Amino acid sequence: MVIEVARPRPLWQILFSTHHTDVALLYLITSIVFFMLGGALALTIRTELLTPGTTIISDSDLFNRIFTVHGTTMLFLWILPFISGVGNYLIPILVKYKDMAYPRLNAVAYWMAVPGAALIWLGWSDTTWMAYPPYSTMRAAGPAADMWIFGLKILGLSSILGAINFIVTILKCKHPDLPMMKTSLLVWAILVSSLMTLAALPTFTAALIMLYTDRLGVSGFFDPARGGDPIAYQHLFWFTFHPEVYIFLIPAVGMAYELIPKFSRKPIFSYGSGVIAFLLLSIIGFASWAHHMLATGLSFTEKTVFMIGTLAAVPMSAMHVFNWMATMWGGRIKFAAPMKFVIGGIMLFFTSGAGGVVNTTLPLDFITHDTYWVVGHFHMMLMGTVSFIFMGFLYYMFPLITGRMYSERLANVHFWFAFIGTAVVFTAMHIVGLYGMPRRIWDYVPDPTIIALNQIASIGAYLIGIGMIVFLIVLIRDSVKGKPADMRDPFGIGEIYYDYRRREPHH
Amino acid sequence: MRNLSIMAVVAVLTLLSTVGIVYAQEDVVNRSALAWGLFYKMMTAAFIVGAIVQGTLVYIIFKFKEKKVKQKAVEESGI
Amino acid sequence: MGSHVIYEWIYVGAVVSLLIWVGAEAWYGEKLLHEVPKDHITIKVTGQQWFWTFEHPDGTREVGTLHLKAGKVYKFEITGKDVIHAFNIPHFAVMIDAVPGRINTIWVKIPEDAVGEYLIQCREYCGLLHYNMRANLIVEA
Repeated sequence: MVIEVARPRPLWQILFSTHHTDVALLYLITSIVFFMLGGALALTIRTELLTPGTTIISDSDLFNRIFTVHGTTMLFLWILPFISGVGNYLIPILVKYKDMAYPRLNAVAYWMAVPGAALIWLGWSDTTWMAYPPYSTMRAAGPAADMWIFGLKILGLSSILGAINFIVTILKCKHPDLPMMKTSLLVWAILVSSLMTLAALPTFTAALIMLYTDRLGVSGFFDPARGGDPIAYQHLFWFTFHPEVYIFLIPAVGMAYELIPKFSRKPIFSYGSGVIAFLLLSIIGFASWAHHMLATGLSFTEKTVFMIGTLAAVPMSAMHVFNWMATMWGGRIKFAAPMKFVIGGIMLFFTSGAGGVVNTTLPLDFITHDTYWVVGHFHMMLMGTVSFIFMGFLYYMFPLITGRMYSERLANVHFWFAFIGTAVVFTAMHIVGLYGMPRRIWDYVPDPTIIALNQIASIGAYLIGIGMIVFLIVLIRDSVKGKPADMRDPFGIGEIYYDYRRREPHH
Repeated sequence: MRNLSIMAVVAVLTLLSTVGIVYAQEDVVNRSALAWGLFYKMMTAAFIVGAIVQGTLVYIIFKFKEKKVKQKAVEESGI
Repeated sequence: MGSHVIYEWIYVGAVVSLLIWVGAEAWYGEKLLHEVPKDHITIKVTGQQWFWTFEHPDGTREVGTLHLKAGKVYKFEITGKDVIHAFNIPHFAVMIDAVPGRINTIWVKIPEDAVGEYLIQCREYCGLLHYNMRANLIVEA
């Protein structure tokens, strides 16, 4: 079902719909809005760090709130809703079912995300997105921190509902003539990441409750004065959020598997190894959480175990990269915007992956932990790989959503600005981290090298900003005025496109 | 070819590190020298592997472009 | 295509061996740094919002400045008073969290030729003035 912007349906029809394409559309629009808002916060941060001392933000309190909301927004209001959006659009199509398994639950999951987002943006907390106690329990200002806790709680429940819905849709509602091993790897990706969500998220949900009762002062789970341990929270937190990294990454990998064979006009090199890599990663992803905590005073044995767990997850990612390159090898590649973003994403994926391996070698933690190196590293992953593939996939879905074609020329401009900007800003961050610049600081030591590197990073960020403005122009203008797309094969790659004739909302 | 080169890299680096370990047996370790030494070693490995991977990717991009391989497009018949 | 899958396994083998090398190097380095040398001087470090306090073995306390002697081995016993901080001397690659209710230790040998002034900073977010939670390390001959 194509959203025809020129002849719009009444808004309430979309808002109150439970049809998977409508819910998906809401998810996608929400995620893109927050992507832009979070990006605006990022540019504010980069502008502040352009010079030492005050640049545009008068005090560190506001700065702390800005980066907290930036982080929370990008992870929970851009990446996760985008995955749900794409999943909602495509999973029923790819498993040949009329809708999601529980359409109403689906709509509920979306509408739960809205108050969650509102709490985060109205509260404007300064806890950082990790909210480590005792800071978050004893010193962080309320009601902002309380609103943050409730916001995340609601978003977490929404994610769990969404995950259940995807799992049931894929496993139970799949067309009987379609064996699991013949489905798209995107289906596998969503299935695996949903299962991981179910396994990982409850831990954090519990930790949030403990955090809140600690804030109320009725318990002392994380308060050493009352027999608690602040490090316990970090274990609970990272037990959820290290797997969460793979929950972000795996759907992006699935999308890359969806795009690369089509644009290379070749079948996937090895479907089986893709599935194996997904499944193994979903298990091994749980064995590395404490590599985020190597500086908290873990014992030598613990450090060794978690380093091994971290390194063990690398071959799976390497298998995906091999699979992608082997798929492209000998193909006839069409470099439309989706493919460009995917290839850009793979290039940056290697960079962030290698950075991760370097990072986990234990003694290096003394150099890199909690510096801008880490900031550069995970942004390279989340922006450079995950968001790049997402943006590419959005271009690929553009005809499906709007029935129109985006402007390839502007998309190209978007890609190059975003790619060069991403490479510049996050490489500069890696290097400035090696000079010992801590993360989450409003002001830094006025050393000439550090100033120069910060300014290079800011310039990179502005390049991304320009790219994003172009992106927004393409999305808005071409969904209204774009050329009508050839819906059988909008990209001219000789592949059957998704079935756009989904029937109108059935409820 | 690529695998061979990776293996070669591993072999050379292992050799280098063994040599390094033998020489590092002084009285008290210099913490920052050890950490930075390890860092440079890791970066050398990362850049070598990176050059191979990114190089292959760039090669693929230029070699298998649509325009370059048009002549052998048999499956053009499409849907 | 089936016969080509062998390339993938060779590739995975190469990746795994590379990772084993990385892990072994890291483990060995960490082991060397883990054992505290015998004759060391213990400095108690306390981090609180937003300054550092240092206590020498003879009981003298310093706030915001730490005087150490070149050529000596120091062991820092680090704790936090209110929230989590991280004790970091970038120049000597000293970095460990200052956690309330725990004492973390880390040691460093100040090289003979390291006389001078160095930066001590907090590397774990600790609130309003986190960016400015710095101290001076003065290494004397």
